Amino acid sequence: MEENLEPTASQSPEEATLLERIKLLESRLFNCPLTHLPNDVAFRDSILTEIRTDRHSLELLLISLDHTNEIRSEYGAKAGDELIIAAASLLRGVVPERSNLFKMGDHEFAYYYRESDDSDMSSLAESIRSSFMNSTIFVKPITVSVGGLKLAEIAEDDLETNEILSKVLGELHGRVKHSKMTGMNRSTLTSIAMESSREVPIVLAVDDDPLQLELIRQSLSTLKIEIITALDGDDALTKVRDQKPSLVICEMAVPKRDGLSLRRELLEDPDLRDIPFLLMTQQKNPTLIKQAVDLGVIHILEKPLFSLELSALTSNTIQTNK
Amino acid sequence: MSLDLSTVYTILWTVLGAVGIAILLNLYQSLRHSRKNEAVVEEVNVSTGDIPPNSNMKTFLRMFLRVIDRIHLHEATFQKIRQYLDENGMLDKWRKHLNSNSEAKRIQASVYLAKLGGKNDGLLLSERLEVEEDRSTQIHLIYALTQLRFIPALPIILEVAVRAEQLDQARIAGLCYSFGSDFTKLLARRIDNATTEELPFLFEAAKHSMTLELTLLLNQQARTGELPFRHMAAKILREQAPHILRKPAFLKHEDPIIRGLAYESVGLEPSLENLTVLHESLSDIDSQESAIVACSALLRLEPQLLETTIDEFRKTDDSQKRKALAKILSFRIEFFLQSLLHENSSIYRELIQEILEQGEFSAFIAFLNNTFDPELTQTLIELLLELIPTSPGLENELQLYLREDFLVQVNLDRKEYDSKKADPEKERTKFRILLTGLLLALFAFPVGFILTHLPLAQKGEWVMLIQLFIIKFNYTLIYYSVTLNGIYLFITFLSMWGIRKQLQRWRLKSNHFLSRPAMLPSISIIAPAYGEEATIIESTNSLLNLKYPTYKLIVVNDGSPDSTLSTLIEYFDLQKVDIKLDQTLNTMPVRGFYANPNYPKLTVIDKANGGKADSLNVGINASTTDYVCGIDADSLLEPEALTKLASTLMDSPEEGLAAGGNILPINGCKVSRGHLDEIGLPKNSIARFQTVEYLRAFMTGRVGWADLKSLLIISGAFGLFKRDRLLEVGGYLTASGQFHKDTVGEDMELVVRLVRHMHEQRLPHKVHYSFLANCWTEVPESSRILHSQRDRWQRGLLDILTFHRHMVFNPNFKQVGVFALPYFTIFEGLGPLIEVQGYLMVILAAIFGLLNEQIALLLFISSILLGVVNSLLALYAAGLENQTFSFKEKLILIVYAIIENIGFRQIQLFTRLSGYINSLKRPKGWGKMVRKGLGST
Repeated sequence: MEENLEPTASQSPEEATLLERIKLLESRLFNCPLTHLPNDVAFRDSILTEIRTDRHSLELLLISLDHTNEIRSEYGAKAGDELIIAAASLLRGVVPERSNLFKMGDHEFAYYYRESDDSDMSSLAESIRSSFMNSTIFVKPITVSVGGLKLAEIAEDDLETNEILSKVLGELHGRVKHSKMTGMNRSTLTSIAMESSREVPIVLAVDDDPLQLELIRQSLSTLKIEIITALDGDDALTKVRDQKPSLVICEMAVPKRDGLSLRRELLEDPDLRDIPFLLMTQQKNPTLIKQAVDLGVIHILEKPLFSLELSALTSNTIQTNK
Repeated sequence: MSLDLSTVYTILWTVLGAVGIAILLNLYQSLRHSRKNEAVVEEVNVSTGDIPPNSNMKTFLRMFLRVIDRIHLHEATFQKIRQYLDENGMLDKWRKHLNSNSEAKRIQASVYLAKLGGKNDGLLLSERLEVEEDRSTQIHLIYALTQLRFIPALPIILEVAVRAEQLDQARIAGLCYSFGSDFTKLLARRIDNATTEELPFLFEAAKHSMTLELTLLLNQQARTGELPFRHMAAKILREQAPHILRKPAFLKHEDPIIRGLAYESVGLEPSLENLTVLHESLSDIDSQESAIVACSALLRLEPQLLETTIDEFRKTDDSQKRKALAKILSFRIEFFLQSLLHENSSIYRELIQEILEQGEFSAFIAFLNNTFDPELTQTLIELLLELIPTSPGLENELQLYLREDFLVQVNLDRKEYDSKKADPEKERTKFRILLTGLLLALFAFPVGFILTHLPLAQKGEWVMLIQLFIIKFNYTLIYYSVTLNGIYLFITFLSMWGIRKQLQRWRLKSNHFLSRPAMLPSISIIAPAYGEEATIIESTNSLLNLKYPTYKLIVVNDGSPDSTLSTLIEYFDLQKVDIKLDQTLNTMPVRGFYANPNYPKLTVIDKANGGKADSLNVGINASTTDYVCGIDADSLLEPEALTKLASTLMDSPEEGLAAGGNILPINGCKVSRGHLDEIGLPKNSIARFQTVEYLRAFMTGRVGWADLKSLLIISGAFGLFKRDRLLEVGGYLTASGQFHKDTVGEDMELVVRLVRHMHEQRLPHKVHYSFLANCWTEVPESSRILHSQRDRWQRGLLDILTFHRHMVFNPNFKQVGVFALPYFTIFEGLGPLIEVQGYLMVILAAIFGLLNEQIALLLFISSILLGVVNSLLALYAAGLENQTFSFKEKLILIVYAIIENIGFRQIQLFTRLSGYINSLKRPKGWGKMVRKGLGST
């Protein structure tokens, strides 16, 4: 069909103009005028073709900009458009295969690729999420919520290609919505399931001074908890990831990664950011308090510690977060 | 003039005795370290009130102090321990010690009474404070009084405070606030009729916390006060109560500095109204720099107002103001570049043009290098082609930093980086002096000998003459060597004494005491970085995680040709910020400041290449702290190193001018994420020899030199300097600085110049040394690099000695002039020339059969053993506070201390000799050391 639209020498000038207008119309139909990316119609088209070729190794990401409405209302509609253009430009730089990038609804982008040895969905989603979060090209900092799906998860052989497509889109939107509901700026790459709770709460104490750790352990010895310890920020991060404690008590100045950096790292991980965090320091000061409050630290304890304060705070925090 | 066998044997036995004692000390220490784990258990037991039955009182008290520094004991437990100590007469002993003649005892008594004393002890402490002269003891006494909350002492404390020097005033003010309203009420009464002498202390108090009365006082002083109080008051207001400075009286003040501070205060509160005020103030040329800083601070706090400033830029015709506005907006250049794709991008184009014309290229180039959108790339390349002819310097920057494929598109070639070398002018004088030194060392003795033995020469008895000459020369060498070893031994004994004292003081400083506000001075760590992209993140992270209450880290990128700067910007998510920079020291131009509010300690400065000393000077200019600490970007500090180093500053009654710490080889240590996980010996034997050398030089040398007030070497890898004094002497020596001279030994030169300045101004001062503060750095593992390093050191030393030749043998400079500098001149500067002749003469003597082998051998063994004693004592010192080396490692090091005398020593001697010869040639550059990087060790 496309071949017929090509202007040939035999066509009259009127015919050529007509054909050009048809071409323009067609490009409007398949491209987003703002970002010049192929649009959702083009996306459906390409995906259907891809599913027909091989329905198992296909993987998709749906990227939704957070706060677009906020920016439109604060800076005007024009700023909103500019934001989307900038986002498209940023995404072009991040994804490996630019031609597989599509502009979906108002503020969403889609991307697909074939599974291979060097493709990893979670690291791609993470690099997209972090490059938005750290970018300075926007009028103000912007985040994205990402949903990801491997076709192998749902493609049953007896489904029609059209059925698969609608199921894929439904699931993708569901996952983006889950990312948005759970606080935005995160990715959902698996089906939404419940996590189980633990029986004896674990408390992680972090300090590079063994004596201090022993004294904390002693102060908390009457509580029904398991206490684990770490001597530096890196070790602490590993232990939080492995053991998912119910509370972290961390000295501000620990080697490798200080207390606030550890907290920041935990905040970036959606699974760990809700773990309550207590900070210890030799001397409170306004700068530290401001930073700690901004990062959602529950309380800053000053050394020398009061063991009653420590144990009461610990048991209260664990009670309320059960 | 003869040396018989029995004298030699006496020497040998004495030295052997010393070796024995040193070995015993080390054995005893290893025994104690092995019991360390039991100690923690005992300490935890102390917290429950268990008094270990068999431990002595000293150990128990130390454990008790460590515990209460970490956790408050239950009242009952605390009383039980107090009663136990009282029954053993400890409290009475401390009360008596309060009036002891020894400062150490008075301080110790204050520390214990602070934790265990009662109301009556408050009275004793304040009585002592009234007559106390020593500033360190004063601070400890005041700390004790605040711990006991003994309010009646307040008037006496105030009395002491008014007379104290500024850093102590800050300490006392910080302590006093724990008295709460009793202190502020007393201050309020004093403020009404405050004299000029009392103002500095009141200002220090205001820095900690503002009361209504202090606010009123500062308001009045900032408005109508005399200089320097007017500026001091306004600066404090900007930090503590900026709303006051926003009043018209300050915004329209006749003093431009006050106006500038007022603008900066306006910038702290973002609103459209305030932004308009600041836009107007941009026309105030005298204070424009402050207005720019204020404006960009405001926009950073409220990005929505960005449009307003862009509008202002659009509307303005005044070219000065347009420049200022472009400077303000330059921190968002990435947004403007991105916006070039939009319709109506002409205003952004103008803005970008204006920004580039001011020489702010780096953000543009970095943005372009990281752009992958073809449409945007095309637009930017076109823009560049347009701008290259109109922006001076742009072409050069592009050639250095732009990505290869883009560089082709703008028709430019890659330029290789060449660092500018200064051409020293004072080389001629230096050459003459060094030549004289050389001739003197070679011919002084022969000429003197011939003159005294003229008759023999006239008779023509040449063989006898030569034999006599060799014998006399050998004796002279023995005197030389005895003097040198004597000095070493003397310094070692002084050091051991000083180490004992220092350790005692350090153990009495609890974490709680040291972390009181302003107790430790504020410090800026300055880390110059040149081509460190591989290691910069690790070392920056490491320096950000030190245990020190108030410090800043300034990383200075010395125009690195690699991606050092962009690596930092990306990792720490830095933004370009405007900082008002006082160009007190002349340096190469600064390109930009970068910071991130999430890392309040960190500032990164980008500057044009000018060398290490120049980068340090930029850092000194940019810092606002009491002290600055220069550090090599690839060295690693132990977390507590800075605290240990800075806390020595308060140990002397004189002003703490500078302080240095240990440098130890990191080769063989386990490092991860910029933290020293495990200390170990280097595998490489050249590095092991250096471990022995470093330990001996630092542990048993420098403390002694410091106590003699003769310490002149503070390593550039880890040294603390008082900032205001640095500014007074003109900072590090650079070609672009005040003295237009470059040196390869800038660290030692700086100390010499500082000390010289203090002596000339007749100001009491001390250069401190902390044997507890460790900095770990990579040492050369190949003999070629070691050779070039030592050659450089020798050239640096000679350079300094000739540059400051007027100080040598000059009694006006006290110990430094009559002892330290002559020592360096004779034994370190000319030493290699003399020692080489020594080896020659010994060989000649052997040939002529004049050598008494037995005496020679015994003397040789004695001097080796003396070195071993030093090494053993150094190892003992290194293990005093923490276990640094295991018993096995100590044995290995001792073996190396013995075999270094055969081979290694002689090679070093020739290296130093070649350094002397090379000094006579044209100056060479730094001879940069090739590093493996911390990650790979």
